[in-house]
Amino acid sequence: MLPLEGIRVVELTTGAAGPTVAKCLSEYGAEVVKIESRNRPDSHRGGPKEGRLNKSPDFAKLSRNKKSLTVNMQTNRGKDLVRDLIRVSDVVVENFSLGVMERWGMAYDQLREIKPDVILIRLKGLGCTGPHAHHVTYGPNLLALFGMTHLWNHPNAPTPTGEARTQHPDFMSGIAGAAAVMSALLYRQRTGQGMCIDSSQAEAGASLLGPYYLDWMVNHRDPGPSGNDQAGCAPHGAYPCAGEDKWCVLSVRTEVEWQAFCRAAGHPEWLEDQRFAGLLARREHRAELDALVSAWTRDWTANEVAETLQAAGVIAAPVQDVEDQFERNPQFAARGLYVNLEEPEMGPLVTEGPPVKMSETSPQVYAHAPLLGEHTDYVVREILKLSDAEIQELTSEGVLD
Amino acid sequence: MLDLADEKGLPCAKFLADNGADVIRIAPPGGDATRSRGPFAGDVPHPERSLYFLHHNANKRGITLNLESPDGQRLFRDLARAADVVVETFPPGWLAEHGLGYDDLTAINPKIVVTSITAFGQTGPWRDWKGGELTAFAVGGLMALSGEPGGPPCVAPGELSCGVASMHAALATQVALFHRERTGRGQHVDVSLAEAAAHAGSYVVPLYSYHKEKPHRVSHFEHVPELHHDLYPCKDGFVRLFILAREHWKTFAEWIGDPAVTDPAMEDRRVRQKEMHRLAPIIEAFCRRHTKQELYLEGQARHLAITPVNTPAEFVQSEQTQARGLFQEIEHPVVGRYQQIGAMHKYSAAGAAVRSAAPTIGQHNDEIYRSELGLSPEDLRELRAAGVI
Repeated sequence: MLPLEGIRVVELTTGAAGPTVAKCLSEYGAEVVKIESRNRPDSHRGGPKEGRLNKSPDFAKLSRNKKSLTVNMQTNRGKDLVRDLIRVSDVVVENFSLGVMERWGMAYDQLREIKPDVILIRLKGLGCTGPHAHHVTYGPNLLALFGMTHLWNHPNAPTPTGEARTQHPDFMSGIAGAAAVMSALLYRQRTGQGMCIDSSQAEAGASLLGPYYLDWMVNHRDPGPSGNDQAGCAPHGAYPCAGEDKWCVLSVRTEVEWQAFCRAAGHPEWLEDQRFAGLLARREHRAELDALVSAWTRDWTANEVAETLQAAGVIAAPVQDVEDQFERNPQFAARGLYVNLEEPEMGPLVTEGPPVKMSETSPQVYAHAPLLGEHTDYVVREILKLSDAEIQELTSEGVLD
Repeated sequence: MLDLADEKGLPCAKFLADNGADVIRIAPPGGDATRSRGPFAGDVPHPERSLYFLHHNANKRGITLNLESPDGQRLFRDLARAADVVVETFPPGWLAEHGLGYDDLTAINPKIVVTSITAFGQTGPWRDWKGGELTAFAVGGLMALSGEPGGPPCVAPGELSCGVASMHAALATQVALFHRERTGRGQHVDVSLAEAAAHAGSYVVPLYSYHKEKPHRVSHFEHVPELHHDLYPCKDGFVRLFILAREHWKTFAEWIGDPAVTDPAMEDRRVRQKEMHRLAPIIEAFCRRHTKQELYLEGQARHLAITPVNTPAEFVQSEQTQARGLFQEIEHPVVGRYQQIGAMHKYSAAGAAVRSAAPTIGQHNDEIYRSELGLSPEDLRELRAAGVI
């Protein structure tokens, strides 16, 4: 039995952060009912155009394990139906623009009238309060706002950023949101009370940059990018390897590691070089050291460098793209990081499984991402216990769309 | 909760401490290795002045304990008897070699949850590989997409892999506590930094598996931008535009007002992308006439996803950050009063907040060893003399 079996989550979301909260909870056994409408399906479904719907790899990653209920939220009976579902659920996840839930009559206080111990998590780019709460933001906008775009770069780079194209902080704030929901479930277990959780994706992402903000708060210095450099280490960073745009990373901290590194690289003479005698000297001459190390790494594949150095007890790893991860990462393969989905309209597809194993209750991927409305019948019959006549009426009135 | 974590698990212990767990940070005598990480308050390298340490350890109590000595191991087992959670980041097997593995701890406390956060996980051919943020980020897929094409890839700031792994760990740890309430049994949680890093990015894995296409690095410098994702220079820095939807483009085009952009043919995203070599210079010229704050606030007033590329100080000082009280003041005996970023979420039922500054080295030794484990002052003197605490 999975640990969250019996916990039901109602998901009123679009995009990535909100769906990630419910995805994470589903992996531990929560039953997630994702509410969509045929007029406005989730933005990651591939768009409402025929032939694209239900064929989005993004959606498969975000919504596997979930059930899909289609309701027309423009109708009063549709909203009532969702309220009825919330009445028999534990958690509501929403990440629509600020004001949508209020317009639907589903503000936290109103949900509490239906379900006194409801746990509501609201994910917004900039949170639910404050003068900018209504701002329109996507993940990359937030990276720019909280300083990450600026900091993610090599020092003195000619470009304004070196950041990868990523949806961060959408996924991280979704995972953190699931952790916050678990705090609320533990709280409810002890006190019988629910709560409303206000999640700002910008703040979730910013919390990892705490030391940079402290540099400003305490030292009045506005820090800039430091790239791959790290105090206390040399050599350290990314080095070129054999192949087109292939790289490895490595890091040498202690004298023991330095000796192991030089021998493993086949350059014991570096140990005699006064420029590299001791960490301070290696830090001072790190441009020359990096040139020598690069000349060595260039002759080997990234995996060869990593295997050679790790065998000698030195930190190293290949810089891998997705193809490398599939073809040249025996660790991911052995631990079963990737799971195969069989999507009804797309066929086989691979996504990342949870990066967590537990001795009793490992999180699991147990179902494909739902087709739009795939579980409408199940939800109204099995959860809401509606009769055939009621279902027929709701269908003919366009409430179940 | 007993916190034995280094960089890899610090955000996990912090998340739980911020939400009210009584977290006891356990460091070797002399203090944590992470106390040597800069920047330092007043730029004075000193174990009580590491801003890295101060950020990650607020709201915790701190003790010292030598886990390599038999007496230290005995004391740790005494602490574990009364603990709910241990968070640790040692190489796989290290705690077991010291008589403190999951099997040892569960034998004395069947309800305990042990959460291990390691570079590559507890199993598999690379389980004994050394590493941390750098190695995880490298194999995780995002690093290969960072930096300028041809140059070295660039690790993300803020130890992103550790952060994502720690959020998964905080989630799994609490799931284990929830499960324990139902079953009475704890468990061992195994989190891999490298696997967490593979989660931090995008939809690269499912897209590759389905379409067999993989993304490549794109230059942030010399290329024709993709409008919906890109940075544009303005009067005093850069802004990020994320303009994808047709109605957003129309609003933006009308704001710019140039007939080349208001051309209705450009409303189609695919047409627009083909014409970007022509459109980008017009957009850039428009942006250069404004400051980033003007483009931000006037753009947002038009419901456009435009944001400034801020420095850390600009984020701290922004109206929204200030209005939400994100930074909270605390006092530290060495550094004095300062503000640090508060909890990750706002909870209506109970306010998570910065309640206390990070502990000084061994600050709570007396409180915990004497009041909670019942050791005498003489015991403590002996333990100190023997280098156990």
